[in-house]
Amino acid sequence: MKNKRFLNLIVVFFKDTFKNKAEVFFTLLFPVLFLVIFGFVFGSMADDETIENYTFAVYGTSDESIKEYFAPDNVIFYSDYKEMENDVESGKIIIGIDVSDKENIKLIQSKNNENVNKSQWAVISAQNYLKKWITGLKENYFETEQKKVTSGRIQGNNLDYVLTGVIAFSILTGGMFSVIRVFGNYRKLGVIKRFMVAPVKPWEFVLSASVNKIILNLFSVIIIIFLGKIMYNLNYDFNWFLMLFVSVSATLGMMAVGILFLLLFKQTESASNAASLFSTAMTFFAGIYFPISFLPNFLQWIAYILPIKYIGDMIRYCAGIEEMKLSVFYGLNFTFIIVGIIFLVYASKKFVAKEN
Amino acid sequence: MDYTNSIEVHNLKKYYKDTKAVDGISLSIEKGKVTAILGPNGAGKTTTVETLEGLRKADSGEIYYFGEKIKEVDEKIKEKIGVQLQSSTFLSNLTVYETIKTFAGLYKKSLDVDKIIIKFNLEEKKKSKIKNLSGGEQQRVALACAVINDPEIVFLDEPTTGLDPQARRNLWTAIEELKKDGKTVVLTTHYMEEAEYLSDKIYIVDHGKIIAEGKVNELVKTINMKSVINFSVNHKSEIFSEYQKNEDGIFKTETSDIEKTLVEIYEKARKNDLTIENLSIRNPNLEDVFLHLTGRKLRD
Repeated sequence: MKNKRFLNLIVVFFKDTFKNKAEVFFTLLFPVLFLVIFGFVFGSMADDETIENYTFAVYGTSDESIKEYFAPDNVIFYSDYKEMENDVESGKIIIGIDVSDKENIKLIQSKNNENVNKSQWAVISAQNYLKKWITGLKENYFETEQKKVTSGRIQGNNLDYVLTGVIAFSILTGGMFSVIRVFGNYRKLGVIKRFMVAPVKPWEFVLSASVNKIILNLFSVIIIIFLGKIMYNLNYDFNWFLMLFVSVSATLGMMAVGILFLLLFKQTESASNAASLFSTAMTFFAGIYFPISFLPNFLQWIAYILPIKYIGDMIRYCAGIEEMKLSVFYGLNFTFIIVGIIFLVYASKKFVAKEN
Repeated sequence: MDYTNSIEVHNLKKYYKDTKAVDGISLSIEKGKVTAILGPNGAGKTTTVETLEGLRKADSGEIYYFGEKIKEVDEKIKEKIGVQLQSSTFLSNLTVYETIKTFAGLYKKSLDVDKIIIKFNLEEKKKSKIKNLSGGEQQRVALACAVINDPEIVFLDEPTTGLDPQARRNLWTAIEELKKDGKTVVLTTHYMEEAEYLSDKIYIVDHGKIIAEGKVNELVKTINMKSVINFSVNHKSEIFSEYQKNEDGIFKTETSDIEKTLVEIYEKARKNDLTIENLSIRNPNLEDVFLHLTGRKLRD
């Protein structure tokens, strides 16, 4: 009987969720939208980071041998210095090189806010190529063997890092906002009360709502991983068992955060707004979309007090792109699970059980 | 166990910080009858019934369900009661059918969902989402969910508040059906005409206390108030000078014997070749009882 009632409640919550367009969007489609946007942005950045795409202009020599030292198709000769300078200024050419005086070679750099890194990288490359050209050093004079250093089982790139961040963010929003909806909005509207006058126990209500949200978050995680693989051919190689474990524990942990907001703010709307603000802060300060080292030193400590940082780290460990001690991994998971359970039990007494 | 009162409450108290929401209420809810708890907003009606439904914990007092004293409203009792709450909604994205089916699945025993849908005239709305229903339709769904477990006692907390007259009448019919089915109904309302029309016994509550109880006619008798007859005549005449007359020419007289007074009025009119127009009779009602007891109108 109890199982029948419990299963009945889970089915009801699923129906309600899937018929709620806003919830479907924010739980399942919003992370996919993030995936597409970040994939597009970081994917194209990765493509740009090859020297073949830079265009160099050379003035002051007609020595075609210089092309051998640069990537063959990326050198254009100019006979008019002014014309070259104009093309650099307009952004048509990234580096202009005046070699008319080999004792004093002049580089003209095209630089704006959008291409700072690219331009800097091109200057360094150009200097190296020119040194080789002047000294007549052949390309094969040095032999370089590349040893890839990985921090995990596999070599991840920017996109892998970002997309595991998207998964972490999806778990954050799914867990946090779902409890605000269930314990906040349902309570406000009287939905919980209506269930409580039927022979439903508070724990049955809370557990069925939680199971529903955990399964939804799992769906969301699976969709992001598979779309990431299909659309961007990502490198990550998930340990599915550990990932399942992290998804459950992290969802419970994020539910605890949502409940905390409901306890701090009397009004559901205020709790929801505060949670939105908090999740936005976590996006920037927790190192989920970019490494913490990108942040100024004085801000980096913030990441360590934000739970999503640890979720991101655990997901990257599961994806094989970051290393983590197993004891830390399980320690974090169990912390999330215990905190989540404590808060859910408290919420079932505070928001679901009878009023004292 | 044999019992005549489905519920008995003795000296129930529920205090909040600065309010005595329920201050020593005692009730006897007779089996198979409709008992109304009537009172203005904030009188303590909802707190009382929500305590009986298990949604609130009483500070003190004794509650007997089906002849047995209980410590709390447990699962066993919840299986036998049906509740329509004053301010509750269902999951708004579910359809009418899904909602009633959901509640059917929460009880050990439940009635056939399709039959209940027909009983409460919801066939046409069966596939409509709850959020797309009118107020009256939502209340019918709430009533359907309240009886889906075939309860012995049905609590209806302000079931017609906010409904238009037609929807209110329809709901009254549904409540009368419950009574015919032998259900014990506990109705809270601040509409005296609703209490008068539907209930067998009335408790009038104010400031957390019961200020009067009994059948409608018994309560009205207690205030010794006369009926008021208003009328006008088709021609100016001094024949009714003994009656009060207002600026619009309407005569007013108070009587404790309506029949006798009406005969007198019509006899006088006939003898003087006059026609009685716009005759109205106003009997004392629960509003007067409340006014008499509290010095306030029920809806103040």
